[in-house]
Amino acid sequence: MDTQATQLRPSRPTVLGSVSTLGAALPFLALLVVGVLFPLFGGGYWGVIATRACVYWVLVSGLNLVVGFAGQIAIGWVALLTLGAYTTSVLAAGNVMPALPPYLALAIAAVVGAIFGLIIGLPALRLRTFYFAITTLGFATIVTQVALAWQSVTGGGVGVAGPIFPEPFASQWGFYYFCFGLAAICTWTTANIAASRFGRALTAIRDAEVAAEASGIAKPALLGAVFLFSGAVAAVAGGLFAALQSYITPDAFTLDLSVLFFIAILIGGRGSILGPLLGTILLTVLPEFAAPLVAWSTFLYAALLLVIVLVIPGGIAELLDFKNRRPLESDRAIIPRPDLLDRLLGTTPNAGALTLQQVALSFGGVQAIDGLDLEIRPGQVHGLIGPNGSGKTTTLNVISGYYAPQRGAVRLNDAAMPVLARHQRARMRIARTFQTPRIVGSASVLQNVMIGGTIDGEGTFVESLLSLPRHRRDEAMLRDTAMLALAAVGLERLAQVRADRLQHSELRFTEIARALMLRPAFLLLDEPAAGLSAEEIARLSALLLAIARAGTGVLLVEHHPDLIFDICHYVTVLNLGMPISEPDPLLDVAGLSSGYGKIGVLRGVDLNVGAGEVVALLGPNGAGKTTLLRAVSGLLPWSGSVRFAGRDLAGFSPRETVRCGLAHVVEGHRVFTQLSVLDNLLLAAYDLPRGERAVRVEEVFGLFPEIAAKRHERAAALSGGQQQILAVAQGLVRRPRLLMLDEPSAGLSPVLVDRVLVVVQRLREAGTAVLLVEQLIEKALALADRVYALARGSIVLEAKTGEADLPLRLQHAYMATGSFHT
Amino acid sequence: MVESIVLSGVAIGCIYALIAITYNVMFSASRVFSFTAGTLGMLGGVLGSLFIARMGMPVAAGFLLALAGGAVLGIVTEIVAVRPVLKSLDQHLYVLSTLALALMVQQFTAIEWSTEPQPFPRLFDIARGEFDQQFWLPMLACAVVIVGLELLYRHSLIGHAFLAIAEDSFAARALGLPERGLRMASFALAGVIGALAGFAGGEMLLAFFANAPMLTFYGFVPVALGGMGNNRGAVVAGLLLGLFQQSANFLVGGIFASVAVFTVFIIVLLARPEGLAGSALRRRV
Repeated sequence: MDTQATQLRPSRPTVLGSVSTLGAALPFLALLVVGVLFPLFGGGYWGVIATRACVYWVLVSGLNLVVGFAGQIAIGWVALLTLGAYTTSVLAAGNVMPALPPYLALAIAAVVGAIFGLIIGLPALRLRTFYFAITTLGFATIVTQVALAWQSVTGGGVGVAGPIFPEPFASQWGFYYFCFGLAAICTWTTANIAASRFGRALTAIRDAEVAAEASGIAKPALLGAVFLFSGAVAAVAGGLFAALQSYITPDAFTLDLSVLFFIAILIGGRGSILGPLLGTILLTVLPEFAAPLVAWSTFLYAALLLVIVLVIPGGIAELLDFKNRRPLESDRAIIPRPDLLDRLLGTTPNAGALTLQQVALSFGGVQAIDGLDLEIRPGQVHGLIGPNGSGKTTTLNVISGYYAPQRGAVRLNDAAMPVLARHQRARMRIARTFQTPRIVGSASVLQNVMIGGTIDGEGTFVESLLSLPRHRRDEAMLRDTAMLALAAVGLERLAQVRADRLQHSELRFTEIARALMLRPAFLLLDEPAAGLSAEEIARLSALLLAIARAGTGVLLVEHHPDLIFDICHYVTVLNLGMPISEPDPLLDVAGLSSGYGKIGVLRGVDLNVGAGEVVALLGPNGAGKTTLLRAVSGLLPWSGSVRFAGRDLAGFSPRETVRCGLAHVVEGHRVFTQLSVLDNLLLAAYDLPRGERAVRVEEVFGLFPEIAAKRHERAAALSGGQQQILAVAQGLVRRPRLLMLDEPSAGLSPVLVDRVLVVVQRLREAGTAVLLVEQLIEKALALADRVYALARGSIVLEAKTGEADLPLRLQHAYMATGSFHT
Repeated sequence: MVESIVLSGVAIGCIYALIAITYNVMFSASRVFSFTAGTLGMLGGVLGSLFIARMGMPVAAGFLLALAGGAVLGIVTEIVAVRPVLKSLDQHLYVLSTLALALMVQQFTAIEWSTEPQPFPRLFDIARGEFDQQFWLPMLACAVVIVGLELLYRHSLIGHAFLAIAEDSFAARALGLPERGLRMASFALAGVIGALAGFAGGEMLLAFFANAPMLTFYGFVPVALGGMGNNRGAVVAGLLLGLFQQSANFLVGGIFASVAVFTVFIIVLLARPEGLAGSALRRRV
């Protein structure tokens, strides 16, 4: 206990405020020294270049917060440069009113810039990425055109003289130091924001928006502050630019300039201050090295951007990130320390229960939840289980405010909860995790967890900007709490590692640590055990029980029966109605492993299907049945051995497996709704010669008269069952030797289910082999010759369907932790 | 006066509509908006002027070569800027890669061709009249493309395959459709349509590298207003945009016309981010 305590000592505030180690500050200090001493060794021409780099950086530092941190693609920011330049020049020259001193003109330009920054930026709250990018481009064009047209004020195409700053900044080097000073201030303030809860919140909005909302981060307020700041500094940069050029015309503010700023940030790397700073210097200086390069400069910038996007999306910052090149230890175990939870969660005042009463919600024609009653009590773990599509995640989303229920009420302690106010849930101390971890990959694990505590900070944006004491107190508090949370979930050794280097299971625990930062009264978990090994699941169970014992009410949406039955005090089951409960093989699968990216799902599956056989593949949700079919048909990469009709299918694409005689009808009766039934079938015959297509289609219509009658209707007009039959028919157009069907009965009424399964019967009579993945165990057993049970990625049972006790053995197999062969 | 506003408005509206269709065709194939749509329009005019006026080729040959040039840029866009990005997790990178490619092509054109607008040749040797070829050529091109696309999508197998990929590329791939080849073909088709827009509108817009950013914006407005991937909406919105812009041009002058267009665009988008005819956003969580 003592050694652990020393590990968790509080961080000390440092001289530079928010930069936590000297190593991080070193490059900035080096640049500072070079900049200050520059006039000693740089000539007059290079002085202009250096001043220009400083002016550009003043703008880019602000734009960096918008583009690099908040992830908004604001391409047309030159509009603010233009605005600032003209405002300062016009006010200093006295075209409209008596001439103002240049400093005052600059200050007014900053205010104007802030306002217009907000105006240009606000559409980002409503528009998607590309749309927003286009609107900023539009703004840039408009501003330039207004500058051209408003001749009385701006001088039109002739232009206007730039402001002249009085001594000591009038000389070339004097002005250089003025710009350098402003650039240094911008670097310092934006670095402060980057290392504050606001900077982290911006990256959360960029990369994990739903997690940001769940952590209580209000996007409009934060983006508004950033646009104000960014607009202001861009306008100041404009004033400086006008002074540098000494005379400005509208064609000085080309789109090329906007592109330069934008590219500097991307070359530098998002989420970094040093990267874009180096990027700006690089792009300003690059064309100066060779005269012909100047004409081609924008082409080069664009080419550089393309290369960066394709090759090193992380930019210079990623190249300089030496810390994250060090290899991590390979056999890492996550060992939570539930004893730390009392310190972390403190004494949570009893918040009363979270109740759902008769909640109903439908999407279009699909009833997602139908009259659900649920009560989550503090200190209890409540499980929510049910098959895919039964509404578990939708229920969670209703509680966390993403959907409004159409009927019924959600109450906290008998007071109705506001609907659709997602980011207020954090203030009510309701925290959640997500089905796929929503993490900021480029930030460290510690920073990710600190995002969870954003709303606990008291300092304002301006205080963070200037690194005032309250900001530093907030940072220390957040860092200490986050380290405690990481220690509690067992990840404190990985605190400084970049999050995208972590394994999937570690990301799940990171999400839990982030959720714990809110000291939640209620913790909602969406399938936290997916992708975890057996020991990790055991540790997760212990952790969740400890969280509950500390007073939190836990809602656990899960598939894993062990987790549910081991730790839940109460269980609600949604959509009850799931009873629980050769010759050479045509398809021979051995040792098959597959998954999705980092998430391994199948581990060494052995399975075979004989010619003309119907084989059922059963198993609980999340076992990997769909993954298995996708791997065999070539939709997913796999390792191991798959042989079909004697051929090795390694490296085969779905097109090639179809050509071999293996057809895969995917789950969800996915037909092409815009096309007619006939066209859907013709498409399935795409690879066949033209004359043959019509023959095959007629053949299939012969098998399925109910869709033959509707051959010219659009597939959208068919019922769910008919669409499923159409999907199966598509699979049969190629006369496959083996047809793989993924849950053909899903979502269908019992009558339609029988109609669809009759098709399987017909296929068996016709000699086609079928591999049938089904949830309806009895129906599948009635049709199949043999059955496999798949649980947690490997086969746990293989039997002929006539055998005695089969339902009982299946039940055991579903619940068992290991293989169960007879 | 009214006639000339209507004529020029419909003509330029047809060009905008064609660029919008270019965006949509690329979007249908990849769910990605590409900045190269406006550049394709620009290239249609520049290549047409290059082959016919500067190099002296017959009109038909120059026309086909210009379209071929558009197809090439379309395919290059797919290979270089779209395909590598679709694989990565950060879907928004496509905005940057297509922007970079579009900028490279625009800059190259500016340097190698000219920074000033160059004249576009007269395609048919008919005297200038009121209903002049500079007006009816874009209208003809628009009509041909609309009819052609309708025939393609509704009555040919490859057109059905395009629609299938647009609706559900996963199911299409599982069924055995050659997804990658079809996507490249879609981008080539988009390239042809874009180049056709620029060629047909060449006399109105001249061969000018700066047409690219202008068409990028004005060609996107019908997409935004008509709904992503919705060609019919795009055509209607394009024609309305053209008429609105030309009316504003004549009545209040060029600058305020573009301000007016832009303001309307922003207001509509803020009120209905999915466009006037688009469908609502899907589930995010």
